[in-house]
Amino acid sequence: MFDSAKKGISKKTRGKYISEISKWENSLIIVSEEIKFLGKLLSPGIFEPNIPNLNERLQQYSKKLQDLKNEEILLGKEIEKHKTGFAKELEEEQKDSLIKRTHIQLRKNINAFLKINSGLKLEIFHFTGNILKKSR
Amino acid sequence: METSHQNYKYVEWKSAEEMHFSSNQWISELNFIKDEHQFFEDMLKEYTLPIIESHLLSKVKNLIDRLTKYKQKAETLLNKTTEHKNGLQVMLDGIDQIEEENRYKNEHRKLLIDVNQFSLENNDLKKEIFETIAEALKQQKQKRLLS
Repeated sequence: MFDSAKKGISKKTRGKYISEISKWENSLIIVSEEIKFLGKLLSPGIFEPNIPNLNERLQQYSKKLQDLKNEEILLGKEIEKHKTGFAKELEEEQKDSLIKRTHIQLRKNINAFLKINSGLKLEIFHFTGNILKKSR
Repeated sequence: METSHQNYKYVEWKSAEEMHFSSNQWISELNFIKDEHQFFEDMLKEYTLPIIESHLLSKVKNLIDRLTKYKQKAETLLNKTTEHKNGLQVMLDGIDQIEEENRYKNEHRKLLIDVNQFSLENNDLKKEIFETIAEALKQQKQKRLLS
């Protein structure tokens, strides 16, 4: 896909971008699996009874997970679009400023998304870890 | 996209600043993985009743064993990465030490391979844990509906 690159973006930047794009794609696949798992985890029946506001808390987390899922889908589409733009621009051997700007912005968005995902994941782990029904 | 091959080649082009950034990123990722491991271990050990009832005990024992090994691996990698990060001085002191600088770059390349490999294996383990717990949850739910 990127083999036709001759000029425009330097070899170093190109290598770095290709590596980053692949890493982003893998990260989104993993996040998608995590969201699916956490969604299943937020089921009221598996927790100790009599936890104050349990249903409300579970609903809040489910909502946050759904928002995260929507964001993940959106970012996946943006990556696809970026990949197409990247290949096209390289083929046309144009100047690299637009693709660089897009890449840098996408990097910021993905890093921010992954940070939110990690924070929410840990929050859910801590919350559910303490109230799971124990074996008695 | 031949990413893994490009990853290793890419180290040749990395500046000292970029290597420092990567080391910090790996440290942060490994610390996060340690937190995750703790949660999975607690969950697999404490959520025992549904696991026993769903006949997944031997599978879970195997996962706990592997998790213990991965926890040690993460700790070792974290120590190596922290040590590597602290050794960056050789790239920044302005003195030409070709041999030392090459040694540092080789160490960085090896760490990159090790962290990537560990991350891949850890993701596979996580996936198995997700599937096993999800199966136990599913069976619990079915049991509740039937009772």
